[in-house]
Amino acid sequence: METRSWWRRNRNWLAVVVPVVAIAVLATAFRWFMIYQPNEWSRPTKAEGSTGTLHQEYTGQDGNRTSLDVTVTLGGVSEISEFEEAKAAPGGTMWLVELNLTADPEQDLASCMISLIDDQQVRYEASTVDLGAGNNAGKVGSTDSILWDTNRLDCVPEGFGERPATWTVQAAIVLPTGTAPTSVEIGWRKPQYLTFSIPS
Amino acid sequence: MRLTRSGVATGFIVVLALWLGSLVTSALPDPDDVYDQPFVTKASVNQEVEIRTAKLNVTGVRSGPEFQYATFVDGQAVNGTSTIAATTAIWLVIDITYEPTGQTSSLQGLRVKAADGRLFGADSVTIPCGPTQPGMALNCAIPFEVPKDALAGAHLLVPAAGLVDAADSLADIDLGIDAAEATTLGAATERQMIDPKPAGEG
Repeated sequence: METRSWWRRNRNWLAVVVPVVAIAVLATAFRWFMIYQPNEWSRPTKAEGSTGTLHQEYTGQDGNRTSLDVTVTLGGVSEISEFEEAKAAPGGTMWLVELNLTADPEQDLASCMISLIDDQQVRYEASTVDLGAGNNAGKVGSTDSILWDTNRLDCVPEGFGERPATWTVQAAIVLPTGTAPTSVEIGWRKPQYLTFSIPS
Repeated sequence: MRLTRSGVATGFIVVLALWLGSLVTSALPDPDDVYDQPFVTKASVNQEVEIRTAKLNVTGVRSGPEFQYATFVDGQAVNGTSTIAATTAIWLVIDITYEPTGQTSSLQGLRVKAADGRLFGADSVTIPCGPTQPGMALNCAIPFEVPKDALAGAHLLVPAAGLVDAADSLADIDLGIDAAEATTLGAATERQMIDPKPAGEG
């Protein structure tokens, strides 16, 4: 007659249960890791102070692996009353983000995302990418009075010819009045982006 | 082999557990049936509903044989902003307040679902609602071209990320159109104005 307790007799199998359950959870979470996370701004690189460098490797449209290296300096974040004749909608306050960028002129940096984040981690975005159909209709109601997003956001200098190695980007982003941004984010291709804390 | 009392009891418990398990599995939906189904939140007119990406409130339903989409100032369409669309069916125009939560976004991929299951689309390329910022609501009006027999019992489906059949959050809003209301909406003759604007502008 077996006198050892059931737990003691089966302790090896019980120990195996722990990693098996962990593997099962990871295996069923493939959507999170393989679909959702790579398609969101989910991998931050935190800038030290006012300057940071974003390094990212990705597969280009030609199928070749390529890399992106951009050094960004936060020039400032300040409240403004209007930007290129556009004003905030009622209940909103417009903020101007200035970023100084340095990158090899050969890199494709035309489409970018610039966001302000508040203390609740809410993202207020100005983007040339991923706003869907609304990106063509950022101004609703009175076209002179509202800036929902900066359709005019230029991530690289306008014009033809070789891009300079260093340039400045401005983005005007409307936040609800009374909400102050705590950080700035800039990114070109999901999921990686660069984030700056705004000095209080 | 000799039958013992504990052996019989163990066999009985195993058979009982298998029987209970089969009852439970037969009562549950098939995984394949629910795997890609949306997570539906039901609501009605003038009832705020929250989906994964936004807060919504359908504030009214109207209809007409034409709609005019424009930027209006003092009731007059601003030059160059106006589009007029007509139909031999009916434009069902749904007034909706839209406020993103979490991040900047636009209202996209809405569908009207008739009582018999037919789906009718409205493309946000032609009638945009947004993008707008979290905490800054927009009052929008979305026109759907529908046959008059689809009005009674119609629901509005609002997906969290543009697809009503995705395994994602979905608002299912009963538009409250009974047979009498459907007759009234179907007989409407006035052109409907569509002028999205910030909720703060009234």
